[in-house]
Amino acid sequence: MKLDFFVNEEAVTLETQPQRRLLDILREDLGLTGTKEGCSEGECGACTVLLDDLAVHSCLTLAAQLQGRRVTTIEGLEKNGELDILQRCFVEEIAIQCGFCTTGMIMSAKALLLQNPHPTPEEIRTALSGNLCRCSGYVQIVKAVSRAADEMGGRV
Amino acid sequence: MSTCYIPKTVEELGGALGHLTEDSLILAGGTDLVLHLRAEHLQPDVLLSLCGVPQLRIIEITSEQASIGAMATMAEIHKAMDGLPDLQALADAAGGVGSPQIRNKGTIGGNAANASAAADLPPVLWLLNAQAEIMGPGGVRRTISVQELADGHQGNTLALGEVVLRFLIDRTAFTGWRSAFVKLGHRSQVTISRIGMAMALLQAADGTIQDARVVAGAIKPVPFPLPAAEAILRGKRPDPGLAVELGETFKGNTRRVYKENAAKGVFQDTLLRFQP
Amino acid sequence: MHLVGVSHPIQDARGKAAGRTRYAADLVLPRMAHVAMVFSTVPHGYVTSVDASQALALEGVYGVFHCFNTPEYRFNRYRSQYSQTLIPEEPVFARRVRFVGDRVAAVAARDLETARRAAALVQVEYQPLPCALTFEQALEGINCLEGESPIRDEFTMEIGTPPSLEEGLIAVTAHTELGRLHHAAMEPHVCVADYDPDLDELTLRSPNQSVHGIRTVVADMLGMPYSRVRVVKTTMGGSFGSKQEWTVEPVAAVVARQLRRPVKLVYDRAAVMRSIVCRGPMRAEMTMRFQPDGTLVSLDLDLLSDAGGYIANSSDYVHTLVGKMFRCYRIPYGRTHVRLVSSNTPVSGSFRGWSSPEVALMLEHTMEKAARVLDMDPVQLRLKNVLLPGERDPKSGLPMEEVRTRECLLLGAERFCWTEKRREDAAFNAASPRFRRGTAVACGGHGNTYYPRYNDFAGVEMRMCEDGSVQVEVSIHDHGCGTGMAFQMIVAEALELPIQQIRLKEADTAHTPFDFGCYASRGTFVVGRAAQLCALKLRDEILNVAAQKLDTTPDRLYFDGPSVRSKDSPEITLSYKDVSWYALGTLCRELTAQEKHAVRSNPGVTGTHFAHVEVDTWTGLTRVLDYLAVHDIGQSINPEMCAAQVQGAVQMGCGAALREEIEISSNGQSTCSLAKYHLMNAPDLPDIQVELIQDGRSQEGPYGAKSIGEVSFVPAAPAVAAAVNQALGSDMGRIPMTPDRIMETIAKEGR
Repeated sequence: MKLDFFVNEEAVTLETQPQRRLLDILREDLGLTGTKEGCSEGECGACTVLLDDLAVHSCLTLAAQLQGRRVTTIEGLEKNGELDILQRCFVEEIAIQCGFCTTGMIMSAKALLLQNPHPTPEEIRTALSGNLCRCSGYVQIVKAVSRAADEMGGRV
Repeated sequence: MSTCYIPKTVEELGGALGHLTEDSLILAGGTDLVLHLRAEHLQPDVLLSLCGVPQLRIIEITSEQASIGAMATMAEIHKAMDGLPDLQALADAAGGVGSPQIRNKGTIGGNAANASAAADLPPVLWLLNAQAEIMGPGGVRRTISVQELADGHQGNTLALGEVVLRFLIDRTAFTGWRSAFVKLGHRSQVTISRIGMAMALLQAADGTIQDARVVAGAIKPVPFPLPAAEAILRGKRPDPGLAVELGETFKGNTRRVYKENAAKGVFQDTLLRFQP
Repeated sequence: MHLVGVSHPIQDARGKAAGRTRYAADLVLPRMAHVAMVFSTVPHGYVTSVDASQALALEGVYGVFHCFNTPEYRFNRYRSQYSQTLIPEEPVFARRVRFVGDRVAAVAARDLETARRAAALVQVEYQPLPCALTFEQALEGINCLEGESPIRDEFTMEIGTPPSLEEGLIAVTAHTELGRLHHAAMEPHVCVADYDPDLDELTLRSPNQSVHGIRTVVADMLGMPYSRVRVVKTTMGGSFGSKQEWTVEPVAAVVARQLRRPVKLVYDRAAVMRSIVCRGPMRAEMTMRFQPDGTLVSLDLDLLSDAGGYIANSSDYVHTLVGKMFRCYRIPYGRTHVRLVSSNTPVSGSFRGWSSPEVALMLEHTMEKAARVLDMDPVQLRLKNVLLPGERDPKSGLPMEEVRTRECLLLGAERFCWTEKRREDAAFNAASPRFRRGTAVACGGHGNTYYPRYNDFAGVEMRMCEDGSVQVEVSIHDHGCGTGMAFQMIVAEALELPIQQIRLKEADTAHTPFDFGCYASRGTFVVGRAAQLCALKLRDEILNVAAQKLDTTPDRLYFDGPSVRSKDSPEITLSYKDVSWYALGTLCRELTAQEKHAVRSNPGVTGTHFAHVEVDTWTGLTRVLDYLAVHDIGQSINPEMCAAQVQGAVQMGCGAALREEIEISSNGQSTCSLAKYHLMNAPDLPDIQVELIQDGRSQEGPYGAKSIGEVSFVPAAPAVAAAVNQALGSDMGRIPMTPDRIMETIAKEGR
């Protein structure tokens, strides 16, 4: 099928299979390897991207669901060589260890802040409930999202 | 190689349904289908994606009726229903499915048509006597009860080329009712139900239960009503202390000792949702 | 110190946040083939035929490799040192399969999708053999072929002097059983192999804990000179011990060589859970004898362990366990009897803590029971028995040095409001018909190196660039916890340079010095010390060269920031750049240093954890309400990262205690999905508190550092398990304490 959609605000046209996963399109066809594959079954959240500003699993999304839609990946957050506030807060709050969950975690956090610019710690934990981190106890991650929300002051 | 249909209107969908064969697949949210597709290395002759029909996503709530498009996502349903007393159980169930990522893609149509025993929406749809409006090849429509949608073996009764368009709930039958859904899993969030409890109560001004409906999920292949529990509730207030007695009504309904014992905990958590 | 002890984001945090850091699965090489595996579907049997015709008929399939068409290469997954004489028990492609998930064939194709589809088309026929899936079946030996014994290892070890008089002692016996654990590193196992047939050179890139270990195994297996096998450690998305054993690397090496193409082998989650390695099950009976005042006098342990399909490290693991028993409490006499069996289940192996967490569960469970029998407060009972500074580890004979378990207990009890919490729990439990709360403590010890079991050393090389910045060659294997940053800090501290001036890459057998690998918690303690010593040597070298330039002696010079000054002429300042230029331009040599450090100590390093839980006695679900981990860490290099690691260990320990388990079904299928293996997620954990006690410095570690990565996991599951037992007044010894097991216990014991 011919697929027309948007990735990180750029129009992309691809000839692909309808049952090709968004994850494979991003990683293999577009070279956007920041999106990670951790479980291939929608349980770990490492492959999280935004689809029309909502967090979804790219491993459970097929080309047949993408026509005309907007995908945002971790690579789309950095603007003009400057990290997004969320990315910077993850770095500064020491919320990153092995990093394999990080990009998915940041995308889930991004989706949260787009909908709810002033989340409570409980709301942050719920928003990240589908993103597993094995290195940490989520303490710094929750702190990083909280601080990013404060720094953004409601802007997203 | 598969042919992919992505209809943009209900009319186009009706046309596309005519092309489906036994080897075809219908793609809704994809949260279950993709796993199945990959595990079985399926090569469907036709892949019909429902995500291009905006009409299937519409949630319309009037004082008489709730109409929920089959492609409405869990997140959308939770948002639309949360705070409406009679429909609260649907909000609870949709809001507790999987993770945020799953709720952003998983649809009510997929959840009901896929008919997993552990699915969270069917017990609530049964509780609220929902109807499913179905369309077949050429746009032929029929409406059945959700009970008729399930085949009893974790599958559905849809014929080849049929899809659910929307679910309808007659709100006039539940005027003054409140409902709630509580699930028990292995963790507090992002968990598959081991017990799903859907309850609706009609209470007098002093809290006395005039009428009650209770449907349990994740125990048998299909949800099942618990008339014994309903009888216990009628005429009383929703006192959490009733949970022990209510839990007894589970006996004989499951061979799993754990579920039989844990039922009272789920009953209590459900009753707590009805506190003033 | 200006850097050590100050928190820094890890070296690659920025790249990871941006999604730019490359992991092995992100690598692409020209002509690269993708490999998918065919795994055994039966728990025990012979492969009688492999029909690959349908797979080979698919467009884009390059080859299918199995025991009937590939030379029988064998290896031992656990071999990580050249000197280990382990039987190469494991064939790359099995003819006799020993568990569901054992490797049968590999399919190489132009892309992964094609390889996966082709793998599903490979027809394998088996002649089934009787299988053992439980301890009982393995003990019966029903899976043993002729000449095989059900007991694969058995030994008795006695340490210390038995009490002269049994009379008057109070004996407490506890039964403990642990299920299989999945490491759940978020990054699945991957290897990219590239074979150059013209040079006969093989390059393997993978996230792993020992590049030299892999080189040993793969080079010996293929009969290649070690120097022609290059192993590069890639950015690792977590390991926890799972990337310490070699399973994907030998396969990728063989396929790349057979195919004469680069190949990428990526296991998916199901394959990682089934076919790589798990923490094995154990069953133990422990008896402690106490004097009436609570002084521990002796200990007996009878242990049964299951190696799973291959023996791998299991024999060594249980031997190690005996030593780990003596790392926290004063045990005047310990007697251990151990038996090892081999069932047809996933292979048991290395797991964070390497038997310390297992033995801690046994010790703490018995200790908990003893506190009740002796009617003593659990903190007081431990205070009476923990090893103190000046005492020795009776097994190794080495001093515990400045161990701080006592201080951990005292500080923790105060910060956690131990007495108040225990009192409040009692009041809460008296009032609540449904929920029960419990507060408990657990201690646990570990090591910092495997010395003195084996000799342990590390080597480091450094060179100063023309501008005065420094390149470090050292074989580190960062698991994701920022070893790279810790080492940059150690070196920068010694050279008084800013961190950005230190460049340090990870292990690569082609460039970095020999090293055993990053396990046994030796990374910072052993390798980090070598890096510190090497930096100090480079300082001497800088002074020597500066002295020659200034025509004086080194003792007349001193360091002032990253520059050299003269005690005699205050106006003279030489930057490192000046010194480097002089060395290169005038002395015709590079400013370099090479140093090795052979370790001679292994000080006591312990953690004390406090857990407060609430058990729902109607559903069996347990909530962790509050948690405090206190660690005797010596000098922490990067404190916030240490705290983050400890919190991660607590997350893992809560999971191990409450819900994580790989279960084996009656047909030998094991849990292989994260939908059924329940890790703790963000909503299920409290804000885990961490306290680091830093004055118990080691003599040998860099700046007095001790280990943290593994010891942090040791007391975690025991603390949570004890809190559940405290809440219920029960004596459950089986972890995980799943809702089902808790409900069974309540039904059996009442509450």
